[in-house]
Amino acid sequence: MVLKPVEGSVRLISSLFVLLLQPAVVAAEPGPVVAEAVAEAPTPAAETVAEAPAPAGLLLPKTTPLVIAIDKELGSKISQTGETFPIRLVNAVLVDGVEVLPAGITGQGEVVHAKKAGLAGAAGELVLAARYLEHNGRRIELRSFRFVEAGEASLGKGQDNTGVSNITTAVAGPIGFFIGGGNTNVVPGTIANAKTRNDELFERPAQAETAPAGTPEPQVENREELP
Amino acid sequence: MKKLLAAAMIAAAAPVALIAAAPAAMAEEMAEGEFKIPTPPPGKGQILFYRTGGISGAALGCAVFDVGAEDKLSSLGAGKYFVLVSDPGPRSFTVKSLETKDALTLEIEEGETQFVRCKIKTGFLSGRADIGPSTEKEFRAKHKNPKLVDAEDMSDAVRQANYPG
Repeated sequence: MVLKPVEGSVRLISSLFVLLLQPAVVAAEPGPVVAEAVAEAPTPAAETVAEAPAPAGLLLPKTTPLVIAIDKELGSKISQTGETFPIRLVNAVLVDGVEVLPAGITGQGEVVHAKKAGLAGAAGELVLAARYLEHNGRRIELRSFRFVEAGEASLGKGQDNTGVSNITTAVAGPIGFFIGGGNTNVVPGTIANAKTRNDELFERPAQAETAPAGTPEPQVENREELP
Repeated sequence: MKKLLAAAMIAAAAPVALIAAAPAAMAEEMAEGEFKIPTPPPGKGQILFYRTGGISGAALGCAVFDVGAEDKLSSLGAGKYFVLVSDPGPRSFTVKSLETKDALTLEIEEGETQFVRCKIKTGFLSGRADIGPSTEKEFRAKHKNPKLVDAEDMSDAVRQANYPG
């Protein structure tokens, strides 16, 4: 009988805990409900996938990142807009374990914009594009050319001396106008990134055709994140 | 007994309160720390034009035009930016000032954002606007507090992309 008040308070505390925990339990409930809905709903899509024939070849999806090298000296001072230049694939591209694009295949890029460095500290500018790679007489179109950046520096432009020029002009007068900017120079072998423009389907080699059923979907093993 | 109950409630509620407060604090930190660049609409690419702040040439605008067009796309004041949504492909831009003009051609790619920086450089009588290719790293490093160009300084197409609704 003496313990009754204590028992009452214990019950009260435990009921408070239950009340406090209730929202968490309720919040956790939608998980299984959603899972059930997903499990029940998409039967037509699942049937479609099951009925679709397995891809006969190896699919290299569009926007697959590639590592390429520029095989010609280019620069904001020496290059002209519209000029083309040779490129080369640096890393082989594998789909589902099969090499579809070997390292060393060549192609072409284009100078989209080139401007020499100028007075008043203006930096030289160079904008390039990767157009295509060629393999067995077939053109693999490319897009999204990017220089590999080192910090804030990029080969897309030279040393920008605009700030120095402006300060010199403010301090020493028009002499600041005659401070030039730097040109950018791309040496042969410079590494850059590009992506495939289109989905490309390659024939599966005879050995790969004999692979057991249930082979996983083609996986591009060259996938890297572009900076 | 009341003290015991109060202590029990505080003890039980504390973890819940901490868990509920933590995500909000993290979200605020991210929102404050990094400017979010919008993604281009499907099938389109975009260019982010920006101009850093500074005293030199602060009174001059950097009006950006399509090459050959008479109407400007927008005009960049010091510390301002705007986003131009565009069809993929090459596109040329020019900036004009009293003494000279400068041009830049870019290859716009679907689903991607490119960056163009405008600067006002020294001229004989007045500053000269100069545009050049830039990168997201440079934009984030040199443009700490980007502010969108005022709506009245944009063409209709640019305004719709930057001030939707």
